[in-house]
Amino acid sequence: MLSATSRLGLGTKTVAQFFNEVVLDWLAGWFGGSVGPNYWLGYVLAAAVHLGLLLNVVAVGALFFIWLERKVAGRIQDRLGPTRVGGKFGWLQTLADGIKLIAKEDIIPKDADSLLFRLAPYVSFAASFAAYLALPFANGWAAQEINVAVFFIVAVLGLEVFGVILAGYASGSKWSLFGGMREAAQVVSYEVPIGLCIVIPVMICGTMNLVTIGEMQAGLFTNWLIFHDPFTFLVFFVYFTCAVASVNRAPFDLAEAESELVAGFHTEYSGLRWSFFFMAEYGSMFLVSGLAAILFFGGWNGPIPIFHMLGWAYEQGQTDFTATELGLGYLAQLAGVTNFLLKTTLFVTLMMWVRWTLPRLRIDQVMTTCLKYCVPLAAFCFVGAMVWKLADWPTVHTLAPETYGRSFAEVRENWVLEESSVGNASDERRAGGVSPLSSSTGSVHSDTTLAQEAN
Amino acid sequence: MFLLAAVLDWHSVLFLLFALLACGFAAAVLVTSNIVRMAFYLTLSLGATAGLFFLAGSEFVGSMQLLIYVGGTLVLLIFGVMLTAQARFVSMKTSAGEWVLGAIVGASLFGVLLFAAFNVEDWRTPRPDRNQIALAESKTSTPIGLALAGVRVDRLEEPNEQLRAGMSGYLLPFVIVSMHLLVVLIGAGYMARTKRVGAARVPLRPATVAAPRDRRRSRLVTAGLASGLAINFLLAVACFALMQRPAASESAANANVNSVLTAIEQTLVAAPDWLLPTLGLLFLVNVLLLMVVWYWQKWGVIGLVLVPVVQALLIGNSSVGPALATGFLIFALAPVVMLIVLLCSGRRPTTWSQME
Repeated sequence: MLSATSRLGLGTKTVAQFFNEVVLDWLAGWFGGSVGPNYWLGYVLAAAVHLGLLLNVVAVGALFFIWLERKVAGRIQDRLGPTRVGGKFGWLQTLADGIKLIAKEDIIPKDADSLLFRLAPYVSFAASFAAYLALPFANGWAAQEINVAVFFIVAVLGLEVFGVILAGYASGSKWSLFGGMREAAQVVSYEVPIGLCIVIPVMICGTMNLVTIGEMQAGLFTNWLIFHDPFTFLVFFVYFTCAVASVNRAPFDLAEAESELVAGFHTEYSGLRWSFFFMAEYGSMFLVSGLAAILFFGGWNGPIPIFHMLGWAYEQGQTDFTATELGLGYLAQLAGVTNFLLKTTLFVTLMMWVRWTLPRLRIDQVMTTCLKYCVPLAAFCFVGAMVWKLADWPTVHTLAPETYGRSFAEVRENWVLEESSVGNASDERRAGGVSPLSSSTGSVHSDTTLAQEAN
Repeated sequence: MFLLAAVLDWHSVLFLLFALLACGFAAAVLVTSNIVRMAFYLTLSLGATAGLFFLAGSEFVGSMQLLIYVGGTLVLLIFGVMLTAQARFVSMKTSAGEWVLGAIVGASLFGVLLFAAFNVEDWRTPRPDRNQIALAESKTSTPIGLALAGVRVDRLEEPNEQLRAGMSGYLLPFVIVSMHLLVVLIGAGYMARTKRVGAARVPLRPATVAAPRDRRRSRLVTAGLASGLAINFLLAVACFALMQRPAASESAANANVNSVLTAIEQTLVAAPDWLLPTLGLLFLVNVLLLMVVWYWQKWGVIGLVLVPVVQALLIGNSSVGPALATGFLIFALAPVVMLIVLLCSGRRPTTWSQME
């Protein structure tokens, strides 16, 4: 039995294998047994850890963002917001709210379709949460690194509206029904422009893998896709508008327009079920913001690639979390997660700012914004970005100094080649691509993407 | 329990789980009578199918399933909600006849699928190397995208030069489908728009004259139309049946049963191949036109006059001969003329004047 420390430098190891070899093996050692690297319990534990972390991102994130929303709203309206609960800043306010919500009576109206009424909040929450499975938080740190992650997230996010419509229908109240129907019309409409906006970074990067898209933007902040050309710069704002609308936030929150529909689709909800809707809402807010951060703002790459300069950063596909020498890569990953969370929080705050600044739109104005402005604008930007890409016009990044990242073209060419190749040559390259883990991470080297295969 | 968990093949367990979910909720769709619940169960069933795809490692198809089928059910759900706003639709009962029909259709489809599935050799025999199968890294989207752009990366090594040309990807179908969708979109937008403009600007047409309830046709006209329907239909059938002529002609010639039949045979031998199916189709058109007349439309009568003329021209142009064509014209136009006379005669208001 090798000791844990000597194993740290041993090349790629999944979290499950880590659990098996380090933790479980050590535990089994107490009883005189030993555990292979592919023991099932390690996989279950790894899955549990992933899920637990993600659940906490959603749940604790919701707690934090609700507090933040109160504070932001307060400041914008020249108030203080919560100040008392938990000492300074009222930072325990949401917890107090949560306890209140748990203690509330859970009411189901007489006219309600009780099965659907009960299920609707969970449908909403499950859809919002499931999309997190494909969202990477740092290079390779995704619960499930899916080849078509962007597509998956868009597909799953569209399902959140199910919960809202079911809630609206099942409540047996006309206000709820109106809210649900409005939400349906709105979400179905806004899926078109948001799809068009998302396609642009996908087109530029040539892949739907979010990790690859994020890694392509490594380097100086000029490499971020928003600075790729004027069209991507423009389309980010279209994306953000549509994202706000698709997660049903003010000024697009017609589904719960308090001035007209009491509380819209959740009029009849109370207690914990009501709070599930809000967890789902804040969850998807965070999700679309994270998507914006990855697609347009370099994801987990900071504005200045410190860790690439130092050569600590992981290669793409190097999901081995037991790190390179001395765990410096791990540090880089943590910094990446911090970057990502910061960017995402920034966008969420922006959404709050928008919410407390702009008045609510009417339903026809919402539709006009979507069909007359967002869709043509997104389509125009799509064509523009495509021409820019085809003509190979310079980007800001080409003018910027040495970047310590990898150039787009290189990553892209490799990606296509490696994905499409069926011959023996690629197999050899694949075999060769397994090893270069702790080698010169910062250099612009065409073989680096091959590490993608290594996991 | 740990031991049990260790021996279990988790892939199979998950497969069974998702398959049961899909089938169970599909059955629930059948049993439920509330439309919205049906749509909800359908969503779950389709979602479980997407889970099966994910389990098989085809993430692209799984996501597609989620986006298109599960998302498409959303629209169904919306319509369900809108329909069930009225209380009488809240719970829909299925009549016994529909149950029987559905059961027959479903069972036959199931039978075909089962038959097909059990006929695949690979699916019946368990693979010897089951434990060696590693879940392939699923990178399905790139080949699909490249194929849509015109490069079939999975067929690059096709040795046959000519075959390779045919495997040049799906660019054309892709473009056709996208144009189709574009046309549908524009059409939908146009239709939605004209309605609004019509309501706003164009003065409403004088309320269309409601079809008078009490209009009636005489027995003779009814009988004429009915017999016309029957005769034309029979003629069409006869035309199509005579297409099997080469086989039949020998036996007919040998047997020499009926001199009339033989005569017809003799004339038809001279006719070109396209004549009979065209005539048959035109007779079917006649059937439709008669139905149009039945529903009080005047233009059906015009069609009834035109079709025999066209038929006669066709016959004349073929090698059968002009004399026969003229005979056919007279023979075919006579009933039409009789019909017109019948329509216009009789007690006032005549049937003709009541038609639109």
